[in-house]
Amino acid sequence: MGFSDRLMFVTPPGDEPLVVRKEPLSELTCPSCRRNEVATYPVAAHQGPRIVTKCQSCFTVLELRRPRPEEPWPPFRPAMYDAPASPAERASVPDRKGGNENV
Amino acid sequence: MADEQEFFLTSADVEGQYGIDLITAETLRHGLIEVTRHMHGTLQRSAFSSIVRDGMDFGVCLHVVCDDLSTELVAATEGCTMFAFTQQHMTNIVLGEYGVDNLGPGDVLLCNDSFRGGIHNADLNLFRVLHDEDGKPAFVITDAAHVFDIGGPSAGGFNLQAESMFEEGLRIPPTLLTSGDVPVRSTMNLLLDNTRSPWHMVGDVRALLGTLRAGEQRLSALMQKYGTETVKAAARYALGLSERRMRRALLQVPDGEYQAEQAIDDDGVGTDPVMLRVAFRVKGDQAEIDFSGTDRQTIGPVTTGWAEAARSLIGPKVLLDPQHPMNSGMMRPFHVLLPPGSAVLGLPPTSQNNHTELGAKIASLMLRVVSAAIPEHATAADSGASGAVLVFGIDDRPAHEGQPFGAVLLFGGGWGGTSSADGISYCLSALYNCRANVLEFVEKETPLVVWEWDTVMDSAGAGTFRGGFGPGYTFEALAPTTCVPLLDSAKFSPLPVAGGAPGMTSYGMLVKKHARSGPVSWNGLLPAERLVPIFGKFDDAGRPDPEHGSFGNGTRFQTGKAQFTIVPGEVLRLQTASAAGCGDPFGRYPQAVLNDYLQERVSAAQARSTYGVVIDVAALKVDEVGTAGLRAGRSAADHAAPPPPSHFADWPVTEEEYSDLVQSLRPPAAAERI
Repeated sequence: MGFSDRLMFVTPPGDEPLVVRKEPLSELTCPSCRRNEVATYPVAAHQGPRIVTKCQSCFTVLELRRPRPEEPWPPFRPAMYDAPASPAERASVPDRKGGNENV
Repeated sequence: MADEQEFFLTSADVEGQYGIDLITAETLRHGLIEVTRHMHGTLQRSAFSSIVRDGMDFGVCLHVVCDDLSTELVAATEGCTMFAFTQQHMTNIVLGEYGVDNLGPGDVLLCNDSFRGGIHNADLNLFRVLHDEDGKPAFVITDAAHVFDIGGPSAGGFNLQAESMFEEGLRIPPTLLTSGDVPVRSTMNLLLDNTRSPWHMVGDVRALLGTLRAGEQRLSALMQKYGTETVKAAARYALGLSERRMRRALLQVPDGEYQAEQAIDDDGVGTDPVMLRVAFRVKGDQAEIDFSGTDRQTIGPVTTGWAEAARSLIGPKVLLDPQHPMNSGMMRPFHVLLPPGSAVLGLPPTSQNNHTELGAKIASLMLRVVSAAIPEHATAADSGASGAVLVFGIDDRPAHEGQPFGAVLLFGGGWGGTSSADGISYCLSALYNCRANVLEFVEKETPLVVWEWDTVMDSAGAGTFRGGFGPGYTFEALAPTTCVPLLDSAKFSPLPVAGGAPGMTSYGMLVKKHARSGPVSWNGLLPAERLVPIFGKFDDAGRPDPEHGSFGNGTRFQTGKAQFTIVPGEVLRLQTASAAGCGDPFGRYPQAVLNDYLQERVSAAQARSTYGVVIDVAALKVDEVGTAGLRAGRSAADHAAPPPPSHFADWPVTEEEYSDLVQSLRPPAAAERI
């Protein structure tokens, strides 16, 4: 999601109701039920936006990860998402190496 | 987690998994909750706005910082329930953006943005990091409260006709409010320069800051007494306990997919309903909540930016594990699917100014879909509306001349009938559960006179177990007062289950005073010739009628999401929709019908026609022979026909009809008691 993508947000075209698309990963086998019904898709997990790879038959989670910067999830990201903190924003921790965990 | 041994941990299991003994774990689990209870009392007693002080529209939470710098909400005491859900996501999103390592002792972040996990702009969310002995982030203390005004075109922050976020109040990204415990002047000025009620704002902000300090003091004391790592271990134990309880509860739900949909009346700008659709999928001890198919984000402000990711979990929490104190452990088994650009995940610049009616419908929808999975927990729809009104204006009472006033008046709604009990009345949605105003304070702080807060006879959705009543709230203006009702369900009745009846819809109407009695009704009944319809379903005679009336018939507005001003002497009556019933009304225990009759909640006519109960009004007893005969003689067609929305069927039109009706309806002994 580039900088310009974080300035304007375009709603999907059309009038039909929207759905969350699950991308099937037929090459993967579920380690629990051994079926080839694994899919990956964006979710809101208990700690926020995540990308899940999950068996659709038994809901075994193969992977739950943070979205990569280039992925459009969550759909809103602030414009200065990947910018470092200024000295004023971290005035109380001048000695600690820090920054934005998104960088 | 099918193994009982995985759920019931022994003391040895606790020590093995968390590194602390069970007694210490339980002591600290309760100790962390007690920190938030202390914060709750601090905020309630120090806030200035009545919506915080009386309505308790706030939340206070503790979060533990995990190894990867994410956070988990480990304890909460809420006034408004939804904060105990939304703060989990918002803390992760806000601290993830700002960088938790950029915050030092005494730093407080402020954010109110609905696209960053907040609810609406009027809710100020504050975040303060507590560091351990080595200076590493260990816990995060948060609080959030609804401040009365945050700027924008509509005082109180509910612009019900907003078509973009630019027509709301201030939208604040994660911003330092204090740095090293010193207020950041520019942030404080930003708040105080842009609110209509700076005196409330300064008091509320100081209360929020002080509450964080109080929480930090209490939590630091625990850390000093037990050691930081022990307290963090106890936090992990508390989270694991909630998770295990929820997973065990999910195992009782049959695997499968359950679907439901519910309509919001309109978006306040157009007249089309907004459809919310959800699929609840359960497999083992995990579940998905999928809002695919929900209508697109609206032009009007009935959309939220992330809140439903958390608020939707109210359904599983209430129905599957209602007793256990809330923490994010119960959220772990769920994944929520939200289509970007839909009403439940709107994109900028959409407005969320009417999030309350969306949230109330989401809660109602989730309670229905989860209960569909568990027939023994069948739950009919609640009012599906907030049951509140914002009021503001300029006071002109002696000694108050020229003073701006504003308040949020909370009168509530009803909860749906269930498979085992009637729904409660006079209560906001399970998602909110705020406290009602102290009426004496309302009349002291605003130029209003509250005439009534009552229920409407026969309006609760009938059932074996009926729904709760939606209250009616009648108040008179002593000075010009702008009113912003938060009342959905004016077009579509709350939906029943298992053969129950829908509830009565919501109404807004002006009431002309009677020479002797003022605007006072009798159990919500008034002659139609004294009513001036503002919004709702009225018949051609001007009577409120959810069955035969049509929405907008003779009303001032074609939406219930309207802002309007009443002048001195005018009396406004708002009625929240009543909740729906569960089960066939003819199956209701006759004594329960008699009890409702004696409390003037149902009429003898409704007892007979809707419930099949004949009441001997002279003896004030159930006519058991008559009742048995009536119920046995019910035709198959009548049995199969769905009941109409519950309402008073013979609403009077003239004053004479009204007087005669009241005389006939009073239980005989009532006249003697009076």
